Amino acid sequence: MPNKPMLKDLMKTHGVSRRAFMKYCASLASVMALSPAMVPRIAEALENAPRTSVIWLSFQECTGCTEAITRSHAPTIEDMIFNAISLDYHHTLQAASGHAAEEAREHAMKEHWGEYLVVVDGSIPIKDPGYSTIAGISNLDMLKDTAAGAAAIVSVGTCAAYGGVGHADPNPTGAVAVSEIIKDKPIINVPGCPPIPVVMTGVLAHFLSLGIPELDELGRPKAFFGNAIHDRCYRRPFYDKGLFANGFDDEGAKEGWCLYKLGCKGPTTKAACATVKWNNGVSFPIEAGHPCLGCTEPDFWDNGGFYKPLSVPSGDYRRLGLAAVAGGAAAGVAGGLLAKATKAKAAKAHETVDAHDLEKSS
Amino acid sequence: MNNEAFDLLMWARGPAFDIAIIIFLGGIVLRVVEILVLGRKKDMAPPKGNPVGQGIRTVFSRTSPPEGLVKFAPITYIGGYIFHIGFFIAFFFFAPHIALFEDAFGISWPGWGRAIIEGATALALLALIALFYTRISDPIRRSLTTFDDYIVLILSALPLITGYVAVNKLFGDPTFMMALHVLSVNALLIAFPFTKLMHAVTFVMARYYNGTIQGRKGAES
Repeated sequence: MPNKPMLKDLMKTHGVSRRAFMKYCASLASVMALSPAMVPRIAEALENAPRTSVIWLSFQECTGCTEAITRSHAPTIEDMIFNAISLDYHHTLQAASGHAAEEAREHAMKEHWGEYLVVVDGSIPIKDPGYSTIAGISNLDMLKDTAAGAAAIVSVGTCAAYGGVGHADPNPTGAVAVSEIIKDKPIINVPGCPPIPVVMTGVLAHFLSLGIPELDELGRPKAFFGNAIHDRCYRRPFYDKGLFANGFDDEGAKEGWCLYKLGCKGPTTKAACATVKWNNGVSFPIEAGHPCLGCTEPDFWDNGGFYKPLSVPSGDYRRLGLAAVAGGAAAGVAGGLLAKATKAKAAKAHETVDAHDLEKSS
Repeated sequence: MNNEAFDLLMWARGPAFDIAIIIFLGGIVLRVVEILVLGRKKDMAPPKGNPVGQGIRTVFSRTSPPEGLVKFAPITYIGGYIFHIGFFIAFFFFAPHIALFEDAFGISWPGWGRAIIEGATALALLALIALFYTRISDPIRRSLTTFDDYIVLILSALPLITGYVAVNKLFGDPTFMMALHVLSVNALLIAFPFTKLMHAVTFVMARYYNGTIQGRKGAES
């Protein structure tokens, strides 16, 4: 693709210095837990990366993921990297609409067949394809059609990665994740509701420079989803000391103590929130005083309630326990009476025997 | 795509816990009520002492060992104390457990630090190992040991081991270990009414009964 501008040239035109670029590569290597020796390789790969065509498909989603990624602070290098890709189709961000927009997608697919990257946000309804269509094309058809020529797919957000809110019980649309439909392409899951912008751009940068990152068993890049929030949380010392907030306005909450008892899912949630944080490293939900909802995990909507601690049973055990006490008492009385009746019967049937009787029988 | 470890945790703290709590509560009440309904034959003789007072006193007095027996069976007594106290500390003063009581009964108390909880857990486990050792090393104790004893020993150790491993992330996926921890507790709850674990409830009745017999005879229990 000689006619396409390389990232190096784009950086020049955007006034990004070499020093700033190398710093970015170093921080990228650091955040992705790569060896410092990888920094020059990332730099070289990124500098020589052509503008990769990206087709962004938005299905059953709330646009929160797009909202998040557009909040990467311009003119940061992350923004630069994002600008350096050729976003050929994104129906929220592109100017064209209707058939013109679809034509852009088809054109990009044809021109970059086998090389383009598909980014998906939103789940796909399979109960009735009519639940979600774009220009009369069902999400299912559009995904299959577009994925056919893709080099790889990035499922951005928990809806695309695991079904998300659409998949939550009772799942009226039969919503499924991308990985439930596409089986023959590499899929990188970047879950979160929404994912952290730098994680999204970091994954894209990794894909451009070093290819598909190492993924965990849930298809997430290990670099960003390797640790539980609980293990990196700045409130962790309070957990260890046994200091907890019991309400959102009690002394513990004001002191900034651990939010476990308010339902925090940090111990079972793998994400980079506690380290990378949000809004250019300003804060993250737990720092803002709200327990982690576990939004990077499959089925987080149905995982026993956002404000229920992980150690608390999720079922209707109180009512069942009371019923068991009543049932147990009734069974105990019945069992006791039965034993008494058996005893009385045995006493009644008891025949006394004396020495003469024994002599007779022998 | 599912997180199988979390799904297992959800099953353990959902339907599995519901089943366990039904068997646990229903079983305890069934056995206690049955014992009470069966009753004892009324003793028509006038008591020589104070049966009720002696009964109540015995409930508490038998918590301390009879004179000389600590020296006779030190591991059984000291190990027994360490295990029970350690288990109680880990059970009642670890904040995630307190959250469970708060949800069930609406009452709460301050949790203790991790160092104390984990120290108590480790000591309780060491005590269990010592108790197991005395049980199998002494031929008399070994011959008296039944299948029930081994099962109860294992079921008491598993929540301590899995809880310690899950919190400290010693091995395995922490969410999976947490699921195993809840499942091990469920197993303990299910076995409780039908094994000697029932002593945690019936010890009061048994001690009171023994105390009243002595009191009735005019003896000190």
